[in-house]
Amino acid sequence: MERLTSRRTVVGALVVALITLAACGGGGKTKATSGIPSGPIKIGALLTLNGPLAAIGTAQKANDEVLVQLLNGKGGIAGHQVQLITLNDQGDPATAVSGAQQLVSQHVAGVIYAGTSATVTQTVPVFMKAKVPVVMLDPLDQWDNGKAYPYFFDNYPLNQPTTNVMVSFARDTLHVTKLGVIGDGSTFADTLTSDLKTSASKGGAQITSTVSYQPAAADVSTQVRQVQSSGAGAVVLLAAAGMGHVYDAMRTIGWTPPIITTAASFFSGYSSLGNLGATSYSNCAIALPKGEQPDAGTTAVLEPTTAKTGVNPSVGQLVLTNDDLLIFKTAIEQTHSLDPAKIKSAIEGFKNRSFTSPAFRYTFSATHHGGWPESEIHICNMAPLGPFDLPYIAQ
Amino acid sequence: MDWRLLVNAIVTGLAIGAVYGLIAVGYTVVFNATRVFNLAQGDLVMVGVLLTFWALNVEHWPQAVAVAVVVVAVPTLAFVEERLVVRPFLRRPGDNIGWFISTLAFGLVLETVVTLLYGNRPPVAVASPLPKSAVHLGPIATTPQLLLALATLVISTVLVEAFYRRTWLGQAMRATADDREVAALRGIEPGRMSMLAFAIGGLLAAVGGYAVAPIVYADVSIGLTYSIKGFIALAVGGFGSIRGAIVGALAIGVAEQVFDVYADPRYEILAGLGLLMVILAVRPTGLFRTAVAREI
Repeated sequence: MERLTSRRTVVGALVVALITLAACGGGGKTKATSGIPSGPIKIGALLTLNGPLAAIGTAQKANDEVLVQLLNGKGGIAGHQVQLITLNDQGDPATAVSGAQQLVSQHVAGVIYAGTSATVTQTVPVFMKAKVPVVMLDPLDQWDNGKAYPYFFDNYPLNQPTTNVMVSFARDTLHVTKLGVIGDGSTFADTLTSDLKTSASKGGAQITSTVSYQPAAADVSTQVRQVQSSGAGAVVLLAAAGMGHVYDAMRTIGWTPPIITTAASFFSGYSSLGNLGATSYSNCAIALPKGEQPDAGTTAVLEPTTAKTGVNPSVGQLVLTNDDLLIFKTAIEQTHSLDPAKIKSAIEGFKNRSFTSPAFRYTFSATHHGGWPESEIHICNMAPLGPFDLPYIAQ
Repeated sequence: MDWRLLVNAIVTGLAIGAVYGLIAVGYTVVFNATRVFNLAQGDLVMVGVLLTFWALNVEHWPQAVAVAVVVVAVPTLAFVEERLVVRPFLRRPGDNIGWFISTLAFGLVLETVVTLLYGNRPPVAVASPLPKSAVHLGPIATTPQLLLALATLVISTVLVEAFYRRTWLGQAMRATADDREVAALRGIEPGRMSMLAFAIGGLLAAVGGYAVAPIVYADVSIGLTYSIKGFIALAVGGFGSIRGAIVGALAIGVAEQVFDVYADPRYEILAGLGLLMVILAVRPTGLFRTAVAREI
């Protein structure tokens, strides 16, 4: 009887041990040392690959692919290769939401780009509901709210602090307090215009006129004349497309005031800037102090990527996207998990943390998910450009 | 309001109206011979613009070669359009408007193909043979390029009018438009007239595309926008009237620019549509549509 009991105990122990092993090993599908399933880690991106913003999206796509290749060449994330899934949102909110749902259904571990200004506010709620972490560059102020967007982390200067810097640059460096605003009628332009008005009223500047144009318009000289006649001393050009028409119109009417614009102006209309480049300025994130070279970390990313995709105006963005990937890598390797809650918690713990370059440091917390420090928002000269077409800081 | 602002807006409006006019005249030539609105006309102009970009900015060919490439390629495309997507509907007995969808589809196909060929380039300025400096007439300033568009419209119109009035082919085209069966009994081949009309429409699109390329940039998305604006111009002026198409186009150009001065330019399409509604309320056939007596 005792022997029988002993045999039952041994069999029972064996069964328990087997069940435990199966649970730990996932039937051979997971590594025993990690909570990360075997196979590649899927990272998603929703890019606009056709329409007026296609120039931005296609450059991003090429850069993203090279960055993922680089990351995989260095061992990927926690020993897993990264599989980038890129979908075209066509600049259309409905298509973008459908794309976001596709990425969710494909069980991506994270997203490094959730759309442009026309679509990102539609797609992010889809990712938040599905608890998919998004780490990306986007200037909308709302992303700073970690309670409203618990899985969204922003590594780009936000709009309101950016427009604050624009106003103080106009006032202190250009000695201009009367600003005329020209926008392209996009959500991007409207949001920035609203923030600029707030910044101007707080910063002792006056918005003399606000006009907009359609990017497909043949001529926008009527709008530029309106801004001129309002008495503006400088133009704040807040647009993502059709900037070449604005530069042409300024030359046509013979009015060439200083222009303060956004980094989007490096993508669209840059070839039409011509002699206006000497008095044109843009907000900038990845930039160089005058006469300096990029640091070793930045060069290590830019050299191999530009060798494959060529030097293009999105190289600054390239560094930030590389940071997005490295933020995911760090969080996943730190937690040994693809659990969104653990990744979120890890990123919220990053304080003054740098990734690609020691020059670019992020601080996140449970409440503030906008990681770019306000002190590192600059205004740059539009021309001439430095190595890798990086702009020089004007201030 | 500064009066100079308004005067400049009107002058700019006339120049932009010339761009719409080049499309509207192309519509009219085809319509007069076939009773078909070629809704791909704006996309044919877009192809002309992009071919000009390719010849000048990419291949760095001389302007004369660029013109030659454009005036051969775009009418050829229009010819293909006529044979593939319009002629089958014209052959069907009775009234049918299948061409309405087929010409629109042809335009979308053109846009898709050009988008694939154009690749990831942003819309860029197309090299112009004219100086970039502005032309000043007192307080009025405009660009040589917009004046070229205006001049192209005037010359194209004069040539088309002369073709209609002074050549046998022109008169045959008008006869075909009036009654295909009677024209056929008189020895006129309606199919050939239809083909010729599309070729002339394509030629106008080619010349227009070359003339406006430096103004509108190498932008693949302009086709549908300009197709719509050209069509509104046609409706304002009266279907079938070349002079009406021009007056309608210039009126829309001016209305849009004045709208931009007093209202939000984002909604400037409303200026043309508003003008159309007013004109149709007063003259349902448009400004220049001539009355036609019909025997019942």
